[in-house]
Amino acid sequence: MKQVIGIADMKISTKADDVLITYALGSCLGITVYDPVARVGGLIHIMLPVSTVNPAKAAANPLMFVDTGVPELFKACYKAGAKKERMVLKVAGGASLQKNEDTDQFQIGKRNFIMLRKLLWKNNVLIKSFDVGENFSRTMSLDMATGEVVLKINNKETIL
Amino acid sequence: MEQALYQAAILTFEELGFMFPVERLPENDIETDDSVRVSVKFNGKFSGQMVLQIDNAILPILASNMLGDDEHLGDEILFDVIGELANVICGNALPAIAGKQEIFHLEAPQLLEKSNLTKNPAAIARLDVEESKADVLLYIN
Amino acid sequence: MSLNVLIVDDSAAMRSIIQKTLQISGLEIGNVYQAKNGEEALEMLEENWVDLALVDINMPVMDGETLINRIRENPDLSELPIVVVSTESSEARIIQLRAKDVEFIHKPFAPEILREAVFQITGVEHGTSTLSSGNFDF
Repeated sequence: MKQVIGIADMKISTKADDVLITYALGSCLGITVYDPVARVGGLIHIMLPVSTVNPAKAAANPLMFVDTGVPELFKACYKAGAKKERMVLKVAGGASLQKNEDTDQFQIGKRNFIMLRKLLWKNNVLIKSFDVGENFSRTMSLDMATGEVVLKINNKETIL
Repeated sequence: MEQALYQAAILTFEELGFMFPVERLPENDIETDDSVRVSVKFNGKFSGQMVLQIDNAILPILASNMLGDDEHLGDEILFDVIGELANVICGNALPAIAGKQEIFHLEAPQLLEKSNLTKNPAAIARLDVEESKADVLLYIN
Repeated sequence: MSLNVLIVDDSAAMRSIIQKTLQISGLEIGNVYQAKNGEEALEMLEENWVDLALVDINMPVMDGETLINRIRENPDLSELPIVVVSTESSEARIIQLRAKDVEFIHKPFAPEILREAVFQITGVEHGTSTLSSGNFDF
């Protein structure tokens, strides 16, 4: 079954016939994790790098921020039976949707990815593969039967 | 030359320090009393030194990011961290300035006393790095 | 099979970054030896069995290029897989180094790039992460 993940949201699945999908990743990050042995997977759609800019919002919805959302994703997968050392992590998004990257003052996409890399490094996790930056929007899906992650960019599909 | 310095410094802070540096206006200077400096001397097509000066306050954060470890951060490793940052910035900036074919020899980084910071560098890159400041100064003999 | 690794870099911070990357890369790492320069590295290579060396170029006492030459000249060590991890950006020097049958990683590097180079040069398949000490958020 298709499970759609909205902005600042995540879903975890243990069902082989599920496909987790999130649409229109711009500067936001889509992060998938998958344990091929336990067949547990998850997808989160994150908006902003750090929760300290708005602790009230982070308390209400930790999934909005990289530093609070990613730990939630891992912990939810552990609860469903995943093991950290087996989990495969892939990343997409972090684009700059301004016409010219130099005029994108806040560079939220780039900040999101740097923050994610810092958090993963401190927690001993390396990224398996990623497709980030540029100036286009991405759709990302995780097939729970195979762990395959597919990106759709301008109606063209590629495997991440 | 300045652009090459900025590019090398920004890339290094992002990749090695997991930080997000942005260019800073010249009037907003670093307080030399609250900062630390290292120098990397080099020889090649031209010789000189590159100095990295950063606010003391950000040093432990940088070290913890780079090493991915909040513990074991003694003075020695803090110096080593800023030395390695300077080394990587210098190694990237020089061929960008002199041309991709040029070979430079870099010496090991040295701590630099405030009084030994000479005026009139050939180029400066001034950065804001997460509420702190960092400057990269290039001197050519 | 676990790999014994020698890390040669004059920066303790960089040695520790490289060691951490290897330990979380999914490779089975055995003993890790660290050396501050080429001379120390040669001593360690004489006394220990090493399967993979990661070597910086600009170092005091004996630089990385001299070290690589000495390794390649030594019949006992000449086949040792070597990854150069260096700030070197000169194309001329990189070509010169690659001719000595080494992988080249440019500093600053993302840890994932180093992982891929090590998998490539050792021919080891991707495995699972084994490092489990430290303070984790998750």
